[in-house]
Amino acid sequence: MNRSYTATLKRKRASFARRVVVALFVLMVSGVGIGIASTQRADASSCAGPLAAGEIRVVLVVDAADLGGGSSATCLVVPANTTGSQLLARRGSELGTGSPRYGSSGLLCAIDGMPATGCGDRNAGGFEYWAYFNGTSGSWVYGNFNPFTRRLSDGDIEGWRYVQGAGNGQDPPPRIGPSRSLFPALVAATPAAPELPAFPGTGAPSAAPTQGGTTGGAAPQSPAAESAEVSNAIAAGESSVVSTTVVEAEVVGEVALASSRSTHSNTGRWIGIAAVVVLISVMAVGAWWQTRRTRP
Amino acid sequence: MTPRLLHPGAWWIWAVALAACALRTTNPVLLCLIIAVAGWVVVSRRADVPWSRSFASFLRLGLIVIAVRLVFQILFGVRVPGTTLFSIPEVTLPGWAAGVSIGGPVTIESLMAALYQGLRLAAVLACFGAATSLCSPYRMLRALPSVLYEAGVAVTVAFTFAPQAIVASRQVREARRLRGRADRGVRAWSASALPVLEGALDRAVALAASMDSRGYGRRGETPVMVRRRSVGLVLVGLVALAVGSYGLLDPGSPALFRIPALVLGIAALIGALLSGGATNSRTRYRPDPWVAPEWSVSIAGIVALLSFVVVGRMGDALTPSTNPLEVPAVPVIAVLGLVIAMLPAWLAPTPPSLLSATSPMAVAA
Repeated sequence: MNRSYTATLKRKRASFARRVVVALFVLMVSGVGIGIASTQRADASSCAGPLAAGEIRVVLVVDAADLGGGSSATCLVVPANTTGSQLLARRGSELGTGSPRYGSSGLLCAIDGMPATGCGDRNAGGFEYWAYFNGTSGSWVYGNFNPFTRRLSDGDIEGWRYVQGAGNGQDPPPRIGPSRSLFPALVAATPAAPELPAFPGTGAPSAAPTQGGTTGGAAPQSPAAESAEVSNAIAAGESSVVSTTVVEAEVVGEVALASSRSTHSNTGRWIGIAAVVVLISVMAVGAWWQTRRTRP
Repeated sequence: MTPRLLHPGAWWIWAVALAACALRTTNPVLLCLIIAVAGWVVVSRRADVPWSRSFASFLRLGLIVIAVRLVFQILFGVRVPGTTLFSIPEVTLPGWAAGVSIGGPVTIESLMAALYQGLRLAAVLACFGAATSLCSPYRMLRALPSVLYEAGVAVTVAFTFAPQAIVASRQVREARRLRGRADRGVRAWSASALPVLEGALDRAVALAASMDSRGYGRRGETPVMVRRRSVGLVLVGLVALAVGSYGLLDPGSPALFRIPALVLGIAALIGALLSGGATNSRTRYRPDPWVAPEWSVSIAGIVALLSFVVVGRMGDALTPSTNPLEVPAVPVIAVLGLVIAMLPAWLAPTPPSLLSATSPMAVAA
């Protein structure tokens, strides 16, 4: 069957331009078709323990104070060998602040939807970008590694700060110091996480799901916000707004909302794409017919 | 409309505007539409001359570009987070090579970004191929403003190299076929690549030399100092024009490289014109007219470019996100602009040979 198919193909010997158009069409449709990937979420253990085998605790500090977003330190329990970017995505899904936005070059553009537009743009004061730091050693070290390939190990402290600078190691580190006290004490037994004492916070629990952008402020009132979420203030360095959040929230409701919204807008786009594809194929057939007609 | 060849400048303006549209977007839907529009106009209005078959070669080159871009992304590309398709062995590089990666996980997101960028370059190549196959390079040389005569050889080679390469490749292929060797496939292609390139450059340089020996670009009895000054001004002007037009077409370039560079280039060229032979009058043999069809073809291209500029101002539909991957939006205004860019297929007059091929009566009359 295959042989007869190739034989007919050879016999027909379609004009090259037509084949290119068809190839482009197939490429486009298949490429876009692959595109929808489901987000998978593993069940998170509590950062206060106990940890399952193969799990590590990592603290992720995000300092968006320059964007008016405050700064937060989040302790997360993740599988060993998680990458820096997976950690960021995990934080976004657990806090319900959405996944980070990346540019086509792979540059991290936005965390928690901040900034809403732009990506590493250059202006008079230098580059505005999310600088990556590592604080495992006890002080912030400017990281020139790729968060996508950087593997984390137990006790790592990762930091991101939105800075305006030259883009080299001199750019300022996050304002929350990378101290060990960011990790809550490990509990050997099995107390449920919600029974952890909640200290009065110094400020508003800024790490709570206050979704930026268009999704509005419905999230904090949703059932997701009721789930275990403990804010405790930590005296950490010079920072003003510090909140450590231990979260194992299941933000199922919000995720479902987001996905339904995205499919709704996608149908319109698919219709548009289909219209253009029909237009292109009509043109391809017409062009093929024209070359056939004018060929001597 | 009487059959005639459109002014080559009009085709070039249309094609450059279409290429500028392609440079402004990474939207695969729009890029494919740009390629289709260019192909449609080429098929409708190309003359029956050797270089008019060059469009397919440019499409083939575009496919190679896309393939190379994908392979480079897989091997050396920046590792981008996302859904991993497969992984290739990773080489750990020392600290000073931070930012460079060899091997590692390959994600759909990175492949799609590479595909979009490759497709954009392929669309630009298709626009260039459309201009090459739609108008005669020799007529284009004739229509150039006299300022460029100072850079005579370079301009001649630049405008005739691509069509000469097409003619040379056809001849090399025929020669191989006559000798009983394969004229298709990778081996035939690699064996004929060098003679084709060499032959095309030889022809272009020979053309430039013969034009030079017939007085192309000569200024007669101008003093050496004046000639040097005008050559220098032309050089400065051309470089500034190149930088400025690139800056204007590429929305990501710094502002200094856009309008200021263009203005500087035009000023330098005008200076060269004034300092050189302002008294020098030239005649043209049967100049190509610039009338209604020329205006409509170039305006169609510019309208498409304007529609892309408008869409670019309105939102980010021209650059669909690849991380997270999203279904590219189809901006209606840009599609309408491209439909207008397709109108030259009817607005331009039919080339003479095409008409004679379709209706023998025209030849008889």
